[in-house]
Amino acid sequence: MALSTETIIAQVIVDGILNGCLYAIIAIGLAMIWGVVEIINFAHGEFLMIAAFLSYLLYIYLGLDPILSIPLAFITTFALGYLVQKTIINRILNAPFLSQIFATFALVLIIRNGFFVSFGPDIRVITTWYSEAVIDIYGVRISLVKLLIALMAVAFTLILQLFLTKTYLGTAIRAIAQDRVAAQLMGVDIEKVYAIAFGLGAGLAGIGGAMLASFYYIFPEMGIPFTLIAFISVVLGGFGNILGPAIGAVIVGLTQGLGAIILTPSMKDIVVYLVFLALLLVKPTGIFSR
Amino acid sequence: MRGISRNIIIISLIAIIILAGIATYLVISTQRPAPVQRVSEIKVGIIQPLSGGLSTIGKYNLWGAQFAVDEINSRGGIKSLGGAKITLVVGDSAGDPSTAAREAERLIAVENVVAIIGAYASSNTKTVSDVCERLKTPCLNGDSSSPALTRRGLQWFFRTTGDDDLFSMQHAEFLKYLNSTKPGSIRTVAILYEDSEFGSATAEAWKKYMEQAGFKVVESISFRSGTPTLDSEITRLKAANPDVLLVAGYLSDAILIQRTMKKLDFNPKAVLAQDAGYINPSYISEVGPLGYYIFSREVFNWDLFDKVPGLKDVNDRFKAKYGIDMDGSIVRNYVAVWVLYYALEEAGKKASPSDLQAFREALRDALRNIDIGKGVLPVPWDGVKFDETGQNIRAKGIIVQMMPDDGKYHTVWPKEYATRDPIFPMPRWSERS
Repeated sequence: MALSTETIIAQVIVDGILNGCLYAIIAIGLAMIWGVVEIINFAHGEFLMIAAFLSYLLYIYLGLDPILSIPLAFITTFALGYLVQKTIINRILNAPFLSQIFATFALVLIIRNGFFVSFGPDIRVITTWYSEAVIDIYGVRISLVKLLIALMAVAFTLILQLFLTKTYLGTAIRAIAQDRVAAQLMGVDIEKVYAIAFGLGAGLAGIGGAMLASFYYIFPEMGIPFTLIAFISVVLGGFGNILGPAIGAVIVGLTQGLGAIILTPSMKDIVVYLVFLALLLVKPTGIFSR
Repeated sequence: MRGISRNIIIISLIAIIILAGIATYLVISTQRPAPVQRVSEIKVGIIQPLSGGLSTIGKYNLWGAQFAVDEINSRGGIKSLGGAKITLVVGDSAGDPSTAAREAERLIAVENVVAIIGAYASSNTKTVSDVCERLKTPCLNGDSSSPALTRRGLQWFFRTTGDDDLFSMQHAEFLKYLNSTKPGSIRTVAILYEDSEFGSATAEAWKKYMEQAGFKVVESISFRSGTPTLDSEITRLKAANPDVLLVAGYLSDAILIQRTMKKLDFNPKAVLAQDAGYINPSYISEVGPLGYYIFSREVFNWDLFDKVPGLKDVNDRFKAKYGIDMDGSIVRNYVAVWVLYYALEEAGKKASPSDLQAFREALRDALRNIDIGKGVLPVPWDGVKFDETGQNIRAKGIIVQMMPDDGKYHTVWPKEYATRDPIFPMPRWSERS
């Protein structure tokens, strides 16, 4: 039952791309907030976690399929993000950089510990008929739900791209990202657009969380590794457009997988950072910078 | 200016006087012969995390110890000391190593206990045993499993429970046993471990003992606990195609490992885990059929009550008093007190508690020479005998397997405690309904 080298490499590449697509949705959300509102949101993973818990609760109490909970998760985390921007971030837009960092960091502590108190440190798992369904192609095993999620991630990215290029609001968001003052002079309601952009960013993290709920485990600190990956992806790809962080995320997913196979698994995170540093040396503003 | 500098001088003087006073008190209190103890009572210190995140476990552990003390006292106390009763003096570590050390100092210097039992978390046991070493007081640990604890050359430290090193050795024995049921079925093993202290120490011990037992370690892979994917790791393991997979991981890792194994259709003949994540109640309740057939090391299991002599009787009485069943930690604290009692009986023949330090020394020597056979204590061990590091070499873990009919762990090894036969090799993922 030995595996051929081709199968191993194919398996790792497939897994890397599928994981990368999921990372991409989360990273685009972070890039949205970072690029438009120009604030570093440490609480990004917390929105992901809230959405995962929401999916879990809907599944347990209403029997709702976690895939179907994705739109609900998006709406909920969008609303939360909108509120956070309106009530907290808009007040500190002109505050010193450190205050901004501490504000989102405080949010992390409040949300995470709130969940620890309410739900405890236990993990929770949703098991549906497709959680463990697998397609086998010549010995390469593809998780059905991860494939579905990757396709959805691509679709959401395209929809977001259309929204940003074809609608007035989307154009306003891009305008602010390019030049805040000029956009204000053109009559863009900056606080509203910020709130929508933050809401979108949080909502995308929420989509990621709801997607994870169907095949991952759910607990208050689950957002941590994904936040870290999102930050790396965004810096890799730059946040000039949404394609950048998405490609960055796929690169991270692939690098993790291939690094673990070619070198040793314990080096997989180191390889990601090495690739990250190498790319930054070549292009300091990210691969797809403006 | 002059006024200020004069004030500073006065404040400094006061501070110096206070500090000197404290220093003198400390010197005197540690050198002064302890007040003569009435021999009607022997004070034993116990340190457990009674506040903070581990407080529930700490409280249960204390119950276990107190229950043993009550049993001993009701059966006539320490006979060699004319029926002296044991009194537990409690210290709260809050789960914090430095607080635990302070409590140990208080119990020894202020409360004049003859020995200290504790302190659950390995990090706390470490600091407590350091204090005991410095103040020459026996320290008996019943509930910490880090191998490092008995590798520091301490003269006053004793551990009744097995450590992760011993458990790894037993894993090798268990695999030999499995191999004897189906000869030639186990030749190779692979190791998957989380890269902190627990996983690394276990992996190191596994490598040593597996090779000694004649099994070839074909792959050894570490991962950071909480990693979001284990796809490549399990792919590598699948490529190495070991007969048995050995796993040391925490709660979140255990679920992810099982799911990824199923996804990638990785089918070793057996998976053997070093407890941790694999015996966490939340894992057991959430993992479902993914976790069937997995073996794990345990110190205790619910089905031992009918197998270990005397355990059911102790547990029934314990439950009547406290309302809960005993678990591994409770039983191990209960047993630690009994071990100390046997040593106290011996020490009482050689020294008098009225000379506290001489008595502590006699107690230490009694612990060094203790020799408790099988069946005396209600645990699945061969008894108690300490080696020169203070480790009980007769301690044993058990191996449990999650059975597909009820999703519970059942004891499968050692034979005399087994309630079920191990299912080996486990069915492939494709063969399961």
